[in-house]
Amino acid sequence: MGAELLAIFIVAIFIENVVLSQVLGLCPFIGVSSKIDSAVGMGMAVIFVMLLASVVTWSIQNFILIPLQLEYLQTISFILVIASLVQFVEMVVRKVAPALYQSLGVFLPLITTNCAVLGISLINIKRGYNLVEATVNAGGAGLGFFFALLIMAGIRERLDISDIPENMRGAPIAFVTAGLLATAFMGFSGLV
Amino acid sequence: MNDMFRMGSFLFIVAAIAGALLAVTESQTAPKILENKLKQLEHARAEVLPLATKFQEIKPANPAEGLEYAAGFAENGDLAGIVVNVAPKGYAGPIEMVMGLKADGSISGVKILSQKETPGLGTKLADDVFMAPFKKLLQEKPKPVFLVKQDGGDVDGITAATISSRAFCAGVRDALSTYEKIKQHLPTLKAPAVTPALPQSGEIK
Amino acid sequence: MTPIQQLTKGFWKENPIFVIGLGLCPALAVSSSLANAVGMGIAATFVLIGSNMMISLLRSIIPSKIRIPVFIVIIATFVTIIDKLIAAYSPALSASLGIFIPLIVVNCIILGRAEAFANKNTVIDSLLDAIGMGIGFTIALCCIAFFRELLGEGKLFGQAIPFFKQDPALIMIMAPGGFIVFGLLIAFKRLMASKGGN
Repeated sequence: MGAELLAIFIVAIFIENVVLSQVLGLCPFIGVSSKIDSAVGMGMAVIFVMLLASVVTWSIQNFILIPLQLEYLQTISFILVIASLVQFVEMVVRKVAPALYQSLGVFLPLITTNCAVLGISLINIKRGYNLVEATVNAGGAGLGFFFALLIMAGIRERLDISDIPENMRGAPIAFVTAGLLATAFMGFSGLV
Repeated sequence: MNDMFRMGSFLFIVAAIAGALLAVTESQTAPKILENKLKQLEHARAEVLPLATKFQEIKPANPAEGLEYAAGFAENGDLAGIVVNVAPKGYAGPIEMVMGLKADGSISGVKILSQKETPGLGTKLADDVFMAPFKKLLQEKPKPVFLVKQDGGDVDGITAATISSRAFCAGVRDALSTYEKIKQHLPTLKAPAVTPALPQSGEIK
Repeated sequence: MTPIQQLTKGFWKENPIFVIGLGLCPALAVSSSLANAVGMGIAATFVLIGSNMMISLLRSIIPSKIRIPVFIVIIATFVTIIDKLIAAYSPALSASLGIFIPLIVVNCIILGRAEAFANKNTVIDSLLDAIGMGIGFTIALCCIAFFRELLGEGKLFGQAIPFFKQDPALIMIMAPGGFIVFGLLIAFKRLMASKGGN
């Protein structure tokens, strides 16, 4: 049991990295990876929302949609729940921890359209994970996103000061870099 | 407050219309989707156990008695063999395969259903490059050892994809061990009148 | 803007992927073969047309404070309809696109067009905008898929191409290939724009 959970966790972080292997959540990956500070903030916000969203969507699927045979409402209910969850978290964080809101607040609204959150929720259901497995998978995926974003931000801070052909500056070089990073991450397959 | 009520009811009406539309779509497409899944399952079974025309799914009471399997029966009601789904751990995730065994325990066919192996290397498992020698081995040798040649077995592994090849062999051994565990029950099985329909929501592996 | 310009602006000049930079995930995830690219493009275009027209039709009665949730419900409805239709009539495509069909719902192109265009323009203009953006999305996907399938598998639409089919560079059909091809294509688009003064 423990070993299996650990395997799910490691696979989610490295082998099936949400960004570099599953190609999910690219907009924030490219958009918020130019500074390390904001990458850390975005990464933490994604881990948090992803965990919460996976628990909630898993419960909706198994306690509401399946018993009522309403599986066809999956997409619509998941996205609405994630959107309202993000709003709710934003309100709570603002009230309870203003300091945390200062650093995470601006990133929270962006997460609604982060396809990694909905993607991981759907993958959890598709693979038939139980609640514990779903949570572990979401935690691993969130952490994987965090690492990818952090590494990318570290590289891009250096890219800023290097001499790059004009047309390659910004997004193009970021994508090529991400490609090389993804190649490096392929080395992790076979780990588990 | 009044404004809030108005907005709430607007959202409710939109959601209700959306729900109704989806219910109609679902009722129109669900039978077709189920039919597609059944067809896919039948296809895979027919390929690995061509002798059988009717199937009955059997779920052992506890995991120690082997995996779930489907017993296949020929047109005249005789037991043709069993079909087992196995999912050995490959290089990058499970390799889902289905294997057909004749009533005497010999392998009648293997098919890879889905895999995440490295494209061009591990994925060759599903190609003739790997499958043709494997089928030849089954015909030529009565009791082959299902290990890759590096490990002292009889199976020609794929160059540069040893882990995938080993996983494939492990899957074959899993299916064989299920056969060993359940073979004493096989003579007691009776052919069903028709293949029972699968449960609506059950995912077909 | 004339109707023709309304329709064609999305093809290249305001291409949602290459220029505006929206909807990147499906652009990279399902562009490993031309067949997938076309399938995804059609599915997204269907959702765009449906949601753009519906939102434009309702634009005067949707309370502006809750417009985003209403947009999301409308978009998710069309996404689920196309998801079920593909599963029913093209199971192979459904299997290869997988969760990327339900993920159309978070494709920024669709919500972006709803908010930036359909919410302010007439039904006809919104329809033209949706078709244009949908085709632009499909064109971009096919551009990426063309290089990835040709270099990664030596094929186009599943047909082997002489010369390329010997020793294809497999990495191109995997995730890294998607990133690299896409990065180079944006750079190329910029080069063209700077040369043409456009």
